Amino acid sequence: MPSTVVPPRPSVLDPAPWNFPEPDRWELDNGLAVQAFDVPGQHVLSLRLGIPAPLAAEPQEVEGVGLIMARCLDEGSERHTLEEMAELLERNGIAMGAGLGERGLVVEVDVASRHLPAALDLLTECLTSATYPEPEVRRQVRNRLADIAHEHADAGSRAALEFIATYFDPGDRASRPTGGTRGSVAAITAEAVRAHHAGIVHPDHATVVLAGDLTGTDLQSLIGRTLGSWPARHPVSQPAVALREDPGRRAPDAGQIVFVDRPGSVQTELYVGRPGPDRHDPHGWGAYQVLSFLVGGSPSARVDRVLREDKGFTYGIRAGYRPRARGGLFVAAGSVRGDATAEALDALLQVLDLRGADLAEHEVRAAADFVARTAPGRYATADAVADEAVGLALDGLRPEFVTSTLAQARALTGPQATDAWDAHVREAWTVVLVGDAQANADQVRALGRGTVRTVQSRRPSSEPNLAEYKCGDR
Amino acid sequence: VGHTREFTASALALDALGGLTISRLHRRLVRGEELSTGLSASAMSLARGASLGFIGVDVADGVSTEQVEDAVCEELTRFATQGPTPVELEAALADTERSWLEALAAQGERANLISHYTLLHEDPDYVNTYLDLVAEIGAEDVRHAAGTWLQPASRVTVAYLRDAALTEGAA
Repeated sequence: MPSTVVPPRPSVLDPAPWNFPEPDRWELDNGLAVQAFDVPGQHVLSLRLGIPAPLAAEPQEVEGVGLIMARCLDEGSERHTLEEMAELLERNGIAMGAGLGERGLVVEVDVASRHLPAALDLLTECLTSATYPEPEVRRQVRNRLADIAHEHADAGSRAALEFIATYFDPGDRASRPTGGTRGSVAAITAEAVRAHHAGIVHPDHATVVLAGDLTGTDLQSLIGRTLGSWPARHPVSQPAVALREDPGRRAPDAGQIVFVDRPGSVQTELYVGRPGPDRHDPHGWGAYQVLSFLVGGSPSARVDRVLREDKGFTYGIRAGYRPRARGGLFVAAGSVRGDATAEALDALLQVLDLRGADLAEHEVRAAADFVARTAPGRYATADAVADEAVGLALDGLRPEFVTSTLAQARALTGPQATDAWDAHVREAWTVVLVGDAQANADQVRALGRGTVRTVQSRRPSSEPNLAEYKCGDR
Repeated sequence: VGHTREFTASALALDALGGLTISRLHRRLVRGEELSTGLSASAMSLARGASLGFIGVDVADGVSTEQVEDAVCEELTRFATQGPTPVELEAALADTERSWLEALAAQGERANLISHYTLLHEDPDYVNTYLDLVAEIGAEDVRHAAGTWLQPASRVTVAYLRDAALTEGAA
């Protein structure tokens, strides 16, 4: 038998570190900051315009006005009616929309590169001369009220609404839904929307991000001709709204269990949270990205390893850190079998009562590798790059933050993960359950994990003031 | 059947009917008569047998589902005779182009599409030629496809009602 020489198996090397793309950056005379990311091969360009507008800037009697404004932004201008505007957008294949988050308004435009000039013209037109016609505002208010009814009917969003109402101080905006309540939305008029636009929609302090294949596009002059004509506030100053930052304090009695009763429910929705870090935390945001993934980011993470794989209580519960402008939360949410409500809650809290010292070096390594090495795929598309960059800009961070966060994640050690976890574990959990309280509340009480308050779930149409909703959170 | 010129023309017809803000169903049901708070239309391509077209309507408070269904059927019948307006066709084509390029932008979805057309239709290159095929489709193709495939008589309607009672009706 002839001897064959088997070459040694090649070793697999670690992939080279990956960096978030670096934008060209400049500022227009009107104060608008521009970031342009050339992402070769991405033929649909993604434009994101972020305008700082804390929710607390909305007058309390018309909360939700920002969301209605966002939805009506392209529904009529001084030059075009809604129908004409829609036609101009759609004949050019322009997808335009706007949403609202804690930090501000984000206008999104996705368009094939050859239609970019038309898209910028129309965007500028909406920003500078949206008219908010009465019938369109009325229709969007009516649609929003219908959405609110849907949100109230859906156990997942019902849990989120009860959670913010329990977790946050009732005096703070964060305790009330982003899109307003039935009462405040019903009070929104076209005049209120126009006043909000006049107060919020200005180029100074705003950032526009454009990502995609920019080959052959003279962006400087194109943007200068369009968004450059958007007049700045006179005098350019700190936006008045900055004075109305929402502290988003935790309620003094937030550490409790609230059971929203839905008689006959076969599933129970769990929503559990406590304070967590923001992106500026001294332990580094990279550590918290890794911990989010390790604890609750996949079916093999700590939470689902027990609740899904071992016990079969759930299809999946996701858990992780949610940063806010200042401070943040750790949240776990998902639905479980109704008959296992108390057992599942107990199991979930046991997993989350993890001590930092329990984290094994190898699981930290595996989670860190996942976070760091899947980043190129996560940020492969123009929209993902633009979404990330505009979110960071509204948080006062530059796009390099992604690269430095990934570098921290890649190099994260067990002891660093331990310290980061232990830094945000002291406060009591806020627990919201939506399900059959009659069948399960006593068992939940018997867990001895805190007082249990039962709330009757009323039909959303019955009481205008009862409804608490959350929507379009970003 | 998916992967045919006729399917693509039917998909464009559904876009023109209900997939866009300027679509006639949006104009009439959402903004005109305000019978609906939201509306969508789409096509699902199947490798064998007839593919499916969907029109979904969120019925406004206090409006009967029959009234909405009648209005949708009326528009389907009219579209099958008149075909799309030039603006509806232009917008449906532009929307199709952007959506296709967006779908190809992400690696996972691009792989899915290549796999789909390779395994079901033996056409791995389809992702690169689809937009050329779309560009060749004219108003008469769209009208003809709607007249053949989008007749109210072939519909099945499912209504999901507030009291959670499910009613089905097939005409």
